[in-house]
Amino acid sequence: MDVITGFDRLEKHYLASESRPKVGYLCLRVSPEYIEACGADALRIAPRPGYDLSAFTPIRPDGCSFCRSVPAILETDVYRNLNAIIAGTCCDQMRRLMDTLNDLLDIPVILFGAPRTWNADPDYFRGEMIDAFGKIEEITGNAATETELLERIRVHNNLKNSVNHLRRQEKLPTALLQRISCSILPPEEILSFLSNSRDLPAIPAEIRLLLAGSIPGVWELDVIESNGSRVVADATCLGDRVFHRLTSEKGDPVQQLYQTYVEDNLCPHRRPVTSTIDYLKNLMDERQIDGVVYRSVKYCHPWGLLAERMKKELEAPLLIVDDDLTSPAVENFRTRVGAFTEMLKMKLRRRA
Amino acid sequence: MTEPRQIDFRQWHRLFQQVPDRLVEEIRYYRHLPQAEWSQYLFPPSTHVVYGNRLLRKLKFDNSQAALRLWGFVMSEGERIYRARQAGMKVIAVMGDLGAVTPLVYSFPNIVAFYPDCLWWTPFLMESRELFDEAGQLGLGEDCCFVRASLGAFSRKAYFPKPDLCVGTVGATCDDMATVMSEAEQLGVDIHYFELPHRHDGDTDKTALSGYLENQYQELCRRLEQATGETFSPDRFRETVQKVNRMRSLIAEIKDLSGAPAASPMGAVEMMNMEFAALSYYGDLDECLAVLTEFRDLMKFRANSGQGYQNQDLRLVWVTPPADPLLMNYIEELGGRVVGSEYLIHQTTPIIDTKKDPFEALAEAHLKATLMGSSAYRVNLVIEQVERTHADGVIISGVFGSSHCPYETAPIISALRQKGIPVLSFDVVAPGKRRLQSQIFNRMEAFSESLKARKKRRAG
Repeated sequence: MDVITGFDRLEKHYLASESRPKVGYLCLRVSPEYIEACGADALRIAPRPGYDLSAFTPIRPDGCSFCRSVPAILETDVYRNLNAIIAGTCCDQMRRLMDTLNDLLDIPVILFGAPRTWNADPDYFRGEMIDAFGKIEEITGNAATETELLERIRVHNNLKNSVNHLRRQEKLPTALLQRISCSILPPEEILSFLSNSRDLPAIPAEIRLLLAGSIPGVWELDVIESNGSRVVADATCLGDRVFHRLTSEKGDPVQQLYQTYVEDNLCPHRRPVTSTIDYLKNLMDERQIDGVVYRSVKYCHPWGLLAERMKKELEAPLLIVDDDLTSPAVENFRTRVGAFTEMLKMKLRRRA
Repeated sequence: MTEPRQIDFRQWHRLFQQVPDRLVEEIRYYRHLPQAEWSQYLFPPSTHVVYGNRLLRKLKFDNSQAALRLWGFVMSEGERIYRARQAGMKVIAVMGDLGAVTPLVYSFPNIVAFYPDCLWWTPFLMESRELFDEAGQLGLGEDCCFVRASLGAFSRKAYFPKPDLCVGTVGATCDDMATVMSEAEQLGVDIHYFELPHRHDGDTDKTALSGYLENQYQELCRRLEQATGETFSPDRFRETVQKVNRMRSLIAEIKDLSGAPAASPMGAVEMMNMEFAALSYYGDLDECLAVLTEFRDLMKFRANSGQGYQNQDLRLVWVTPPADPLLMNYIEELGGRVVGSEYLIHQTTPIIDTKKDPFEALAEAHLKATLMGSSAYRVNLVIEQVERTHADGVIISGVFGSSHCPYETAPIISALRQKGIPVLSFDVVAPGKRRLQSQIFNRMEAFSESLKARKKRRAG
């Protein structure tokens, strides 16, 4: 049994047995620690196998294709029986998606304001975050105590450390990384799974790629890695970026969570966007990247409209592809990635 | 006074012979500067065609001098900003807030503000894709709203002078302009970011939100002080805000008059130009007031005397400003008249309280912004316009690829249909796409036919 199948089984088993309230969250501005401290399981909303590509959505076809898919994604088994959905305001489309979900669903849809700029007045935005989680506390009937928050921060930091360590050693495949980032499994369970899987050999990679861009769908990674290349760095919304920032275990835990998830959030919707670009550059240096697959979902403004700038800034071979999560062009994607990988291979051979 | 009607640019060219020279010399901007020929702006539309605004050859214009003055004032804005720079005034580019922060900018002496966002209609006016192509080269293609034209303008350096300061509002507003800002930074433009937090309509702590915005305004004020070398003066601010309030009242009054029961007293494009004066006053607050006052007087006269255009009986509310003004003319030819609008600029409508602390007053007014809150807020603004004007139907001219249209359109349509209000929704197409344009015309024709039939049925 491969590691991915093992992980999926574990998650399925947990889902079948779980009894705590389940809170879905969108994007990286929400702290799963806080949700867990409120006595709920935190479940990242992300594309899952089997969502209905042709499901009705009230969002027009020129809306972000991830946002358009979310109503259908929420129909998949994993997201059944959610007790609430929470998100921070990130890009404009995500903010408006919450409006759409509010109209469509019968569960509380909770949105909190989060700053677009850096070092914005923390008092206001922290208040927004606290108010939003206050609503989660009301739903679960469980107030997040300081002790519980600190405990959840500690456990999540352990998970982040472990993930980062394995990623640097190239013993954690990106497919598993993406599974972990949207898993409902508590970090303790994931840590235990990872420690039992430590005997995994380092993954050989002829071509070392950085995958950057919007939230991945369910098939892109397989297609990219089926060409003799490996995604050794993943800067998508489900990749290394989820784990890179540890939360300080000192001081007020709410403030520290605010700092990690709201203030230090590295998404290209932030202005100026230079910190995000710097993060990508560092990741490329650290993982010795040969090329970048820059994949944005159709009509994703933060990633999609930044593609040309990234091409200039990252100064590496870069393939720009866009992908519609509601109408995937798999073969087109395969051809383009295949050609890109071939080009990189030839380049490496010439150098050798 | 002549009978109100809509005429083309050739007819205006002939009619313009009757305008006395004395009047042409009198009507000028920047009256605080010594009188110079360059500051005159009362010209027939054919003059602006010569400057590259080819679409004017196809548009219909109101035949009044007041409307011509408004057109001249609007079309000379670009030139005016360059003149301001030549005259030593500070030039501030404001982006993304659409009219909220300009009262503060104009409260500094010797300053002028403009919105690069508003260059979104330049490719339509010029019937040229040049700015779009330029933006495309920089990464903003057709999956971005028409405001991408402003990036082309930043890059070409030929549409406005280099600003002394760029103020960019980001956050709870459209993302397309935020992308333009990011790319403009790449071109070396220094931007002061103004953070606009999300407004939870219904249960927001308005005091906290207002407090946050106050701080943003104070910070902006400091940046303006640095850029201008002048100290903020509360007295000067009050004086400016009084003028801004007068303008906002004038615009509200004119909007009310446009729904006159007898006949349409003014063209939809002129009305849109008038409404957009609230953004940056087209670069001259005092002259803008004079232009709108004359415009209001004309509208009042026409409304009170029952004068207006013939055969425009379908009362319509227009939602989202069309970058292509020809569409408005077209619906007018089909018997429509625009009696109400929701152009995403609700933040320019509140009267700013001059008795309050300046920053508190600005923040309070800003809280009315269209895009800052939920889609439901905008839906209510549209419904309010429909009910106030007793509209027969609504036209939504969306923008393909913008960050808000794909989400708001469905709830607006749904709310209107629940109220039994017919609605036509389409996306404006970029210049040069004639077949797509004809599809829109066909749909407009069908819509107007169905509205006419509905009216007949209702009248028995």
